[in-house]
Amino acid sequence: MSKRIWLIVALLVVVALVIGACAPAPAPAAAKKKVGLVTDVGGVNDKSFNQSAWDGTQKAAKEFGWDAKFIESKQPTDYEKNIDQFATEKYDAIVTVGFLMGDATAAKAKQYPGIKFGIVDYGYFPAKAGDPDPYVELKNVTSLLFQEDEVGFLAGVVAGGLSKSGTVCSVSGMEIPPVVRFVVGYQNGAKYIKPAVKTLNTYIPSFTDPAKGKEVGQSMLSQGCDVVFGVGGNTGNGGLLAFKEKGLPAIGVDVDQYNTYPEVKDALATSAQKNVDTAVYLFLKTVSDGSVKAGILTANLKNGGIGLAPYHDWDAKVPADVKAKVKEATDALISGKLTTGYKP
Amino acid sequence: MTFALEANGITKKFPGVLANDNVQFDLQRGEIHGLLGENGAGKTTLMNILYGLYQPDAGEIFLNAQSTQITSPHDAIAQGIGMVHQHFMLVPPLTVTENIILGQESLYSSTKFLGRLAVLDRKSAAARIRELSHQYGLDIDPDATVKDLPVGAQQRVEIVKALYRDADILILDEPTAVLTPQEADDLFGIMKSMAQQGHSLIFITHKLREMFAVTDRVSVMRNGKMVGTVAPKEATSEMLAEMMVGRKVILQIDKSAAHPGGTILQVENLRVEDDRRTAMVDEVSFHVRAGEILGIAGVQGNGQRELVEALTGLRAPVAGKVSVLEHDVTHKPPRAVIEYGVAHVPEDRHKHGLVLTFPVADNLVLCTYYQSPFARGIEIDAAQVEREAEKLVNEFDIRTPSTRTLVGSLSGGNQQKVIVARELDRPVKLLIVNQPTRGLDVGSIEFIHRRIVEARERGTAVLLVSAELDEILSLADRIAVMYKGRILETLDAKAATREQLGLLMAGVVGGKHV
Amino acid sequence: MSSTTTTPTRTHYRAVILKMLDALSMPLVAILFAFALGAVIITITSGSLSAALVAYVGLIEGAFIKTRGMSESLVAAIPYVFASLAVAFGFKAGLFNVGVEGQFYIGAVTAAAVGAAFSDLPAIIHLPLVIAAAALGGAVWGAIPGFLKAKTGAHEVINTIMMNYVAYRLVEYLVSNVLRDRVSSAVQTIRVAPSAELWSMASVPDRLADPLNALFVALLIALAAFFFARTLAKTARISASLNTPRSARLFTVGIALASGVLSFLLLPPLTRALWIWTDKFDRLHIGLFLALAAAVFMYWLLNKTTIGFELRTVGANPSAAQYAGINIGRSIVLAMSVSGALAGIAGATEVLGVSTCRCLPLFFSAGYGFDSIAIALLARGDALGILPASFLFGALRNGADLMELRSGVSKHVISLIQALVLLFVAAPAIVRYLTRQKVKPAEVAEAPLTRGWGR
Repeated sequence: MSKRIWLIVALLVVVALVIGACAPAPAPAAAKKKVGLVTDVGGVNDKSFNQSAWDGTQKAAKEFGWDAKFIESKQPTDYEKNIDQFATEKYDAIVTVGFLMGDATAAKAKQYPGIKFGIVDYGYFPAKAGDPDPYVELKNVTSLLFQEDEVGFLAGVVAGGLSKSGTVCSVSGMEIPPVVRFVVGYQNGAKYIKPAVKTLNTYIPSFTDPAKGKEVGQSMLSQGCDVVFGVGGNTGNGGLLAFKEKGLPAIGVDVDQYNTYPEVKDALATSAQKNVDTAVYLFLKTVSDGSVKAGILTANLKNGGIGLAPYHDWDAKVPADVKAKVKEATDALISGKLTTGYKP
Repeated sequence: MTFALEANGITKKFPGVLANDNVQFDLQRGEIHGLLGENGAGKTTLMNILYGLYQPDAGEIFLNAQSTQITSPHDAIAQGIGMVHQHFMLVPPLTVTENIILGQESLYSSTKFLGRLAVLDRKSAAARIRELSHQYGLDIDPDATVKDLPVGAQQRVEIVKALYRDADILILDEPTAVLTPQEADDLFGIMKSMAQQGHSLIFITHKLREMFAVTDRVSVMRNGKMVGTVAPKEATSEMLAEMMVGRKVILQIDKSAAHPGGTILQVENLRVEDDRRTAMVDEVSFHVRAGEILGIAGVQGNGQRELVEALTGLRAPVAGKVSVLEHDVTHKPPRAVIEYGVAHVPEDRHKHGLVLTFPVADNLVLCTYYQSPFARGIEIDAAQVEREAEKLVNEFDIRTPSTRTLVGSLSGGNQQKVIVARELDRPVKLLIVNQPTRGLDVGSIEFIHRRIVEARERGTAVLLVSAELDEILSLADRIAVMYKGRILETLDAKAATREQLGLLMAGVVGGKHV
Repeated sequence: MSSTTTTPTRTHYRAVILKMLDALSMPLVAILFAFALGAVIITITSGSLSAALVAYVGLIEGAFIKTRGMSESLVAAIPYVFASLAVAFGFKAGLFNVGVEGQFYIGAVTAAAVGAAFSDLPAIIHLPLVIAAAALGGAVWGAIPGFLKAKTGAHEVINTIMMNYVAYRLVEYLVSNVLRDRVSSAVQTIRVAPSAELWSMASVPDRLADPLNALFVALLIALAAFFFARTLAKTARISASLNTPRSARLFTVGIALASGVLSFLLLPPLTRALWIWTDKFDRLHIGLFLALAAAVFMYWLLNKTTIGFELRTVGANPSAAQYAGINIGRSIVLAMSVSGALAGIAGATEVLGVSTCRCLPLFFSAGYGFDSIAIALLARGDALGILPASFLFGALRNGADLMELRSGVSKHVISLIQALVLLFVAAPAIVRYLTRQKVKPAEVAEAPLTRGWGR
């Protein structure tokens, strides 16, 4: 190797050092607060929880005059590292998305007690009744949970209103509390509008089995069901697909599936939506005004943290009296005159 | 008389090497000018300068008495200089015509809008090729696919390519290295006919005989310098060899009469097929005894390669039997054959004989690396390998900067010495050498020939396969001639003549073609 | 490159150092050019030079300086080392193993399964068992395309890619069904037993409090000392004073025993008293030492053994290998197995050392197997060169986040810079041209890294 190459190396090193030395030091954090969002592996443009959480973060940041940044996680082993990234940069609040990040969030919250953490859709409970609570020391984590039974109830009102056969059904994922809340609310909502309605439901022990979901959906079709509610990630999507193929209405879950699952959008009457953006906004608002509390922040109809998605293509097909019934149920649930019938 | 080309005081330096040192060279019109020199003497550098691949550090080039600069091969062609490389620059799946017009389109498209279409008119190109072929006796079918042509014909395509581009001056870089004696003679005829029609040719080789056969003048280079130019009429082989090497060279090997011992290699009714399932070796039987050299003569491609591969375990024979010292090795893998005491100097030293990206030392233990003392358990004892390498480098006069030098950067002669050293260093019962001196310079040839004879004198059985009749005649004790996969006849070397062998090699037995 | 050392003299060392600098200069130049060009691109896209400065300062701070910066760079480098050793091992034998990602997955799932299968084994048995199982899993996954190539000539690039997809789906099935942790709401396997975990650096003093663990570590150190002393005994200066094989053996065994006993006695109290890997290194794990050992092992295997000689011969010139009597088919299967084993260990380190749940969740890896191809190329397939190259890629991957936070420059720019580094490494002609280097004829015939193509 010639001397010339070494000369160039040396020059480049010198230039790099000079650049390093002259670079402006990061602006001293003027009292502006900072909030960071760590997405799960879905990334910030997933049209789902991550994206919605970012919307809420941005909205809050704009309103309260904060800085907002996000980090996308490439893989599950990155969660801790990414949270730490914000923590070492002295962020005031960190929002993490999804139950996959429960352990990582808890670990980092213990390390950085001065930072407020909000985790979307994950509650820290003992695994079984009687277990010692491993998270009893989490004094700076707020779990943003959703009252699924309320929005499930509204979905049930729509389903009952659309059903001609008098049978509505749901294709569900694993039998865990949020899923059960959706299902119970849904069934009672259908009875609210059509007291004689017949309800069918099957829990499938997986969130990632669309084939099985479709199979169950088809068996429900054969039992006369003509409106389906898919509650369980990809498994539920299989149920939606089965009804779409028959041209019958279906109701999505969690997010507005009209956007996230366009294959079934023709059939999608509405979705039982968790408004993650609102929940995140509400959490950040409590951080802003100092009222933030560790524990659970419930997103419900009253604070707008849940709600039905727009009817989209079905706007004309949902009868006005059904829409009125939905409105009536919403008001009654908010005011407390009506309960969804879900008992933990 | 003006020179077609004249180069004055050409000097070219590479890092650490003075490749051309104030070289003087001239080429008369209509002349065949031989350029002789060992590998690394600077012949190729000089030709690359004339062909525009390198720019000289000093010196001047005149074309037809006009001072000129040749900036690139493209420029060389434009100025009427063509080159036939040792390794052909052809695209095998294309036809002869397509190969020849390849790259020509730019000549037209730069001037005429419709030029590109004109080039695609293969018919007129083919007609021109046919005409050139006829004019110089080249015997080229413009519509043949290049990959189907024999080596000699491919070379003629290269020549036509140069002529098609209106080359006045043609440089032929070791054109005979890949040819059989017959094909070489054909080439010489073509060269003479071209010279008669006014072309000037530079002919690079290191085979002395060819210089006498075809050239008008011979220039000899050594160590980057031009040693001198002589007319072959006034020169002898010994004189040219001495100019080339810088010392007296013994061209004829002295060897005592053979004292053959017991049979070492016995081949019975051997039948071998090539990759396309064609029988390349057909019912071949012969034997080699200790202390004798059996030469297998024959034009290349008559089954010699397959025969050697079958003997060394590289290719499974279809039928027949091969035994080495009573051991049946017919279907044994190469390592077993090696361990029975068979050494093999392969035909293609780059493909089989060496790992070019390995150091000299590693190549010297390529077949024995796993044996004591080089390996203990699975660990290689680097110090022992080094000791062995240094011993062989000295003993076989391998010119290398160090034993850690990559073998690929050595000259061809030294590469071949690495192989010969490795193969002869073992306790060998049978030595199989295939084309041992192809492409080597006189000094290396002499050295390797001496080693082969020495092996014989130690009582080794030697099977020598060579397409060079001279080599067979000077080394072998008995000569078997191979033609189309069969051994036509086995002769006593003392009684055999060139003519007799030449006829057998062409497949003529007792006045009749088989 | 193999290097058989003769009598080491001062000039010899000088030559070795020069050779090392020479080998390093091209990658270094490539890296610098890549960063320079990256700065230009950032400046153009963001419209200001200061953005590039802030970005690079953030990158360097995030990768090395900030709390846990260095630690996280090393954490990311560990799987890179194993995976790129796997790729490089294939290169040496003329094979292009594109299936490292799949073998990584198989190693990860094997480690998760074996790690959770036993709950009452001591670490001294369990940890080696889990690593060996992961290596075996990866080896089998690599050996299949190797076997297909050896027997049928089927190209390993195609088959390893296909094996990747089989691996993804198989692991997905195993994680969400057979091995699934039914208690957790996340789709992941059962947590491995503490005895199968790769200890976090911060926890080493606590771990060593258990005498069995201290014994384990002492044995490993003794083993390392044995090989080190053995190499030492072969160098000229020391072997001169050890004039008989017997005294050499005594020397080696003595050093091994002494270091083993000493570390058993002294390490637990010493680590307790002074331990640099505090909780600022809480995610860094002892896989780091394993990675270093793996690189040294591969260097030894390739350059100092008959097996390595055979593999390199097959890689450099298969015809010559056949001529020399080397069993090519066996070499190919062996090379793919070792390559797969290394990739499998990469997967295991992630499960046993990094994963928060010490388990295998769904959607696990993010392309370690593919990045590693780039690293192996950057290191030119050299086992020891892979260590710095992996660290570079780990640091880039880790520093990217802070860079993005600070400057708003997307961290995908890092992929761009990595690609540029590769481009400059893979195309030395460009660098030579940029630095006006003359091509030396001997250098043109560089060893092909990927003979695998087109044969």
